Formats: sequence, C-alpha cells, structure tokens
Amino acid sequence: MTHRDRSLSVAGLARVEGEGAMHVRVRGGRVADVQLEIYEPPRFFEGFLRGRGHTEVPDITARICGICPVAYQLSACAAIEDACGVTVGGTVADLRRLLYCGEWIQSHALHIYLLHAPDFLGYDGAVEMARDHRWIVERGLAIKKVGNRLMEVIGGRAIHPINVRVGGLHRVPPASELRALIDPLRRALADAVSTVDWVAGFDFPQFEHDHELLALVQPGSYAIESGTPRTDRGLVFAVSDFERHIIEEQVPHSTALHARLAGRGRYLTGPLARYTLSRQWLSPVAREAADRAGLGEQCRNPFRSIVVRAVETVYAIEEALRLIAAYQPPAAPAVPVPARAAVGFGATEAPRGTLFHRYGLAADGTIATARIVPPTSQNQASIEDDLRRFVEGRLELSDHQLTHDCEQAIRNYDPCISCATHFLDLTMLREA
Amino acid sequence: MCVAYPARVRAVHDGTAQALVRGREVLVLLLGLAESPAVGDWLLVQSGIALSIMDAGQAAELEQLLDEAGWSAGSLA
Repeated sequence: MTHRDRSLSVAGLARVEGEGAMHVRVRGGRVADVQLEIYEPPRFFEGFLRGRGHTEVPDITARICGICPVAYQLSACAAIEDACGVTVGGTVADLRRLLYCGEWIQSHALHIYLLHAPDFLGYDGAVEMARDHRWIVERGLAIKKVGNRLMEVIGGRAIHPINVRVGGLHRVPPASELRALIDPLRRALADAVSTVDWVAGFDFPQFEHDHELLALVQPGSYAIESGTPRTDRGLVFAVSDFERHIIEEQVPHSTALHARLAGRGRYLTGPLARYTLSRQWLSPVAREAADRAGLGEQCRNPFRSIVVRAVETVYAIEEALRLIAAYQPPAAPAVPVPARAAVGFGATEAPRGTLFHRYGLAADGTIATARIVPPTSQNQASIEDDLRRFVEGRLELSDHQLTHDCEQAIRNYDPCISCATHFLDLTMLREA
Repeated sequence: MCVAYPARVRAVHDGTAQALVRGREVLVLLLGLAESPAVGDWLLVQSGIALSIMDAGQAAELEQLLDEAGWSAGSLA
C-alpha cells in the first residue's frame, strides 16, 4: 500500500460525546470518500414522546443529553408554548436565559479544557495534561463549577435540571441566592478572559471552510434562548418555517440524519456561526477579548472554534452578572399553558448550535407528533466536507499522524453524537 | 460520554483517583472536588471528571438504573 492509495480508520474517537467512527478512502493520491459514521443505535425519543402529556416533554427531552439538558428543555418549552399560544416573558424569561448561561459556561469550559486543549498541547487527555499543567486544569474546572452552580440554583440540580416547566419555572430563587453567585462569577470572568488569551496562543493549522453559517439572531443581544434563524448569506426565515428550509436525509453510514439547506446545500451551525452573525452584540469585555485574540469580523477556521468558545464563555458570564444585577423575583414562577390542538415550533442555541423542536398536540395536550433536529446532525455534512479537504492537504503524513490530526479536526465541532442519535473509529483506506 | 455514573475509589493520587466503574478500573480527575475522597468513597463522574462524592445509597440507586438500562463500563468511561 502506498500513500497514494490507502484507507484510514479512526475506530474510536476519544474526547467526543458519544460513539462513532470515521472512514477515509484515498485513491490515486486523491481523497475518494470520507464518511463520519454514527453507529450509536437510534434512541427513539421522538417516538416515545408520542402519547405523553404536553407538560411532560421538557423533563423527557432533558435526558437526551447530560451536557446540554437545558437546551433540550427550553427548545421543548418554546415549541409547546408556541403551540398553546402562550408567551413567557419578563423576569421568568430572564431566569431561563440565566439558566442557559450556566449551561453554556459549564459545557464550553468542559470542551475547551478537558476535551480540546489537550490536542493543541500534545496530551492524550485532560488527566495527562493535568500532570504538567495542574493549575490550568483547575482554572477550567473552577469556571465549569460556576456554570454548574448556576444550573443548581435556578434548575434545581447541575445535571438534568428539574425546575423547568412549560409556562415558566416551578420555583423562582430569592434574590439572595442569585446575589451569592456574583463573587464566584466575577472570579470566573477573570479566569474566562485569561482562557481567551491562553487558547488564542495555540498553534492553529491554516485551514478555512466556506460553509453557509446558520444561527439564531436576536438583534440587541447574543442569541441564546430565542431568536430568528438567519444565515451569513442573507437567508432569514421564521422558526415555524425551519422544516421548509432544513431538509434532513438518511445516509447509509449513519444513524443520525444529515441536514442541508433546501436549494443551497451543506451549512454549519454552532459557535463559528453565532460569532459571525452576532458579534456586534457581544458584551464589552467579550468583544475586547475577541479583538485581542485576533478573531476579526468572522472566524472560518474550525480549529479556532476553541477561541470562539472561550469568548462565548466570557459573554455568558457577563450576561449572567447583568441578569443577576437586574433581578427582582417575579410575582409568579409560571403562567398557565392550557392545551389545545395545534402544532408548535421552538429553537434555541445549544452550546453546539441551533436546536429545533416541533410538536403536534391533541386538544387534551397529548403529543401526537414530535420532531427534534439537533446541531450535530445538522453539521455532519460540513464536518465530512472539512475532513475531505483537510486530509487532501496532508496525504504525505503517516496513517498514525493523519488519524491523530483527523480526530483533532472532528473535536473542533464538539460533536455531541449522543444527541444526534456516539465516539469515533477512523479507518483510512489507500487503494489503487 | 455525557452520562454521569458512579465510580468507587480504589486509590488516590495527586489530583487523580483509580476508581472502579462497573467492574472496570478507570482514572478519574479529582481537581474539581472541594475535598479529596478516601479509598472506598463513591464518586459521581462525568466525562472522566469527579463532580461530587456520593453516599453509598445514591450510588446503589444509580447502579440499579444502569443495570436496568443495560449500560456497561465500556459505554460510560
């Protein structure tokens, strides 16, 4: 076998959430095929939501993910409330955004420090990195802990919060509980700014993509818990039109669906898309950190997504401090959400990208239909395209080195394969 | 992966612990804990990081759930 004709397989990608494999086939010195194979069995959440009551959905969908349960809860609430013609606003909406900030902080800190940074510093994982850089790992875990603490105070617990309900929350915290978070958040803000400066100094391969970028946009603020889908090439549509514009298709090599923009093709959602579309609404310290890191008006190098996540962590902490400073406990934790026969749509920005839910309700609130489109399945086609181009420029490398580089490239996207249907095996086939 | 799971401490080193997860020995990062666990303690672990020290009752409850769901150590850690 020569370097012109070979196959490469990653048969177990570490430091991603879930299980999958990657196969690369090289023929005549060109990449003939790249497949990101998600072999985790289907999880049937959409199926077993049918027949349940409309108020049960947030607590069931939260179980899709142990890292981003709030995303699933709040996209579900948005869709159910839309179906029932109810709007949750005011301080309760602010508390939900604050809860979501907690999830962004802990999820981004996890990915930056424990899943992705070891790649740039040449370690097999966070445990190995911690032996040489203990205080750095401790800094990351301290940031993560503040995010988890926010989720405990507002959500009732750090993993799979239990305080979110259709119509609002079960309980609102007294102001004293939130004020107790101010000092830890201020310390985390300093740590998060240092994190941006730290990761901005990593060595990044020269590599850029040309994917259309899609994210929710909420003029005036960096979209998290609500917004309108928009792309960097001018496409704008209502959340209720999501399925007219986003086409999901089955592919033989994956138990997750592949998504594309109707009539346009592959696209990318997640931190790079959010930054490009909402940079102007970053908070002052976050924008200054982004400028200092050299991110510019947009970032198209997926390897630099670690810098964008760090900037978003700064933003989420500043936003949490802003929301806490303005907090006055509301009169009621929730509004009534009487059931009606209708279809509702909801989308929020999960840490990994846009997360869409649609539910059809019967008159008594029984779920008749359910559809969930997670970010990782939306990004699969773009990830494969990036890997194809990335490998093509590195065919002179050994299979071992190329496999390592591909695994790192996949981790750029912080793929949550568990959500999309889990872990990567890479096979590289170089053939005549 | 993203499911949090119980792990029983077998040895504590500087910042890490050898712990048993459903019959398999794994290395767990302890740097996020306020206090160091003792040998025999149960930890709640996610993505290789110890989130908290659990009592034996909570650990048994989680073990039972993992049994019912058919989760093996290989699926978790």
